[in-house]
Amino acid sequence: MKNRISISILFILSGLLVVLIPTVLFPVCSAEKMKMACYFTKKAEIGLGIVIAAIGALYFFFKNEGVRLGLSLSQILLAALVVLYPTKLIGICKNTEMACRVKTLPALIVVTVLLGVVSIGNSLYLAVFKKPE
Amino acid sequence: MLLAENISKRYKNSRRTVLEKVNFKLEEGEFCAITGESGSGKSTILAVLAGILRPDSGKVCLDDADLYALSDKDLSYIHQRKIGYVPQANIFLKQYNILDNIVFPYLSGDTKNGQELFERARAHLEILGIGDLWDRYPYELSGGEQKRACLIRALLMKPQIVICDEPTTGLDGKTGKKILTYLDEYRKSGKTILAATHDDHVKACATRVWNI
Amino acid sequence: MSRKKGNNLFKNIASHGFYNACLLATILILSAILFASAVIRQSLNTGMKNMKKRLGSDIMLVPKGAKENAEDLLLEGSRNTFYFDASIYEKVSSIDGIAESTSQIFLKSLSADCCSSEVEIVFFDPETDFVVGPWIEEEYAKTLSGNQVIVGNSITVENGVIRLFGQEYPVVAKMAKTGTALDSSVYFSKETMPDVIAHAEEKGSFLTKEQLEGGIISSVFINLRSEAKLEKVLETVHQTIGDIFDVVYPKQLNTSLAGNLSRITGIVDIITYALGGLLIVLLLLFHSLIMKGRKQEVALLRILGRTRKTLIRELLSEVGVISLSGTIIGCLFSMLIVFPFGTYIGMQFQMPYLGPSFAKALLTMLLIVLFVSAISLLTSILFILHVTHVEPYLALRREE
Repeated sequence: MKNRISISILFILSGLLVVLIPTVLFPVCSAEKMKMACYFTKKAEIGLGIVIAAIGALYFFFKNEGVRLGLSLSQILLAALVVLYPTKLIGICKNTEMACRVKTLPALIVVTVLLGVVSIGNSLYLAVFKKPE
Repeated sequence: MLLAENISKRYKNSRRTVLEKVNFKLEEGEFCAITGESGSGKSTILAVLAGILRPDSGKVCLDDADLYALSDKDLSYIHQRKIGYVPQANIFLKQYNILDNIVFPYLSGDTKNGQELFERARAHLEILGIGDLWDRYPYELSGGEQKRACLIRALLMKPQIVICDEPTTGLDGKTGKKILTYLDEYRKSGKTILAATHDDHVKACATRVWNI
Repeated sequence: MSRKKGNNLFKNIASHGFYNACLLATILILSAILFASAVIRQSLNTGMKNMKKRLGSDIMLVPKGAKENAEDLLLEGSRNTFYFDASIYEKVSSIDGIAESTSQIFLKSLSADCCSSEVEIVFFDPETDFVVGPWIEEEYAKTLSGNQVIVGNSITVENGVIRLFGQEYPVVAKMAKTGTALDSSVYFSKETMPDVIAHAEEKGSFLTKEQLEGGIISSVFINLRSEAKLEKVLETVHQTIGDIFDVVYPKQLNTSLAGNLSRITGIVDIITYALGGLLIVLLLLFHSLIMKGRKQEVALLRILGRTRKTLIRELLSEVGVISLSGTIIGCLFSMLIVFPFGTYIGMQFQMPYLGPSFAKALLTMLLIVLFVSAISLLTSILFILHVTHVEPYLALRREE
């Protein structure tokens, strides 16, 4: 019960952060004059953040440990994707001083690591201590 | 075997001297009941005799060894093997179940005889009628059940002397009787019992009653 | 029935969960702050050291009104453009008392205000240069000729070339890291300026009229002869070119920067000491509360024959486990913030900022882990000694 609520909240929070970081908290560069890589990374992160939050919500509704383990494992991969979009798959501005590189990327790295640690730890907990059938 | 000479004790911040030049001797195989009014110093003399409360003056000797002159290591050995003390309140380590509470304190370092201790503890729990409660936590037990567990804990290492502070107070007659029988059996195996009490049943069971 | 010692240790810690959690949080915060402030100090100091290398001239002449822009450019590498006529260099360089002089031209970002491979472009004169040379970290070729370039430290070089405005330029050297925006600059030889500007224009970059026309320079760097008097030289410059210039003193900037640095590190130190002191008080408080809560337990174990020494060892190992995990987690957490946000922190301080190497960061972490664990154990030892020396009977009674 406790695990279900706390982990679900952490997942939803991470998802919200992934949406809010490139848009509100540490926004990417302005796209008024020109649409740059970070603009598309932002769009992708919004979608990804919604998926992470939605999985967090699903986590709350499933009592079965096996299902929860599956959801938790999927979050590990999504956490990796959070940082892969700006670094490998889509990219951001290459200039070292641009807002997206100075603020957005670091913030996304922080979320990735936190979400990764939580979901890896939780998956181990579910797999080792709860032993789903 | 246990000898107290000229024991005086006054608690810090208290004007009253609880014990004044008390002399006492406990012989092997005795069941001595200490009686007296509340505040007469029964619990205090028990604690002094058990080696857990240093008197202001006088000395306590167990087989010629002055308890309060011993090193910490030697006194610990005496507490583990020679004197079992059952406090008036039922005190446990709340993070362990009953069986662990009984055995764990004796397990530090040398755990070779661990298995044997667990078996012995289970057997004694059985004898006192709480055998199926071994995996419960202290707060899940009634006062009487807790008292029995405390007694088993004090007796587990088969000490020569068992010192009990009010072993039957607050218990129903049946449980009290069980505990008394258990203590008497233990005495008959060649050990010595010292108990502070108000209970006539205990006095009846004792070989000597000392009114302090 | 698990009888493992470690298991008991965690059970004991969990049985006083709330205060132990507070203790853990205090240690975590203390370590995180110590680690962050240590890394920030290191980074500012390294940035400062590196800065000295590139403030390599006695004076720098810039167009009138551009003094602040030029200082910003030297210190933070911020993108500014200011120009005067190229002929000024010729006039100034022959003035008596000047040992060496060289000129540079800065172009602000050439296309829109942000672009994927945007770089700062600097044209310099390899013949007379004494400013760019000293910062070179890694040389690829001995001479700079034709369309070859020298690049800033954070420019990615692929197969020995960089691509700009559809052209490939061979890279002959890479500059040392400065921790400022200058790291994303490309240094061209002055001769290539017309070509580069033509290519940039072809690719649709926005250029000002003067940039297109050419015949401009941004600054003249001058080193004086040792016997020359600064005022005298400046007076001659004034007479030669008129009142159209400002003077920047790079070496003085260095001094004022050092002043800033000590001010910032001073503030960082004060904050660290104040918070550190507060947290040590909290450590004392939580240790005392934890041990107070364990008084009865300790008394009971002593009555049942546990020696003082064993109990002290057990209690210390509990504190040790909490302290060690707290400080490691704290440092890792701090690392997670300080490293990704390094550039941002440097920009906030408006100071050159060079993060430490991985090995140095690990060493810092190790020192902090040892230091904080030692502090935690030391602050607990007093309470542990107290709790193991109380008369067992009194400890039991007080809790009854």
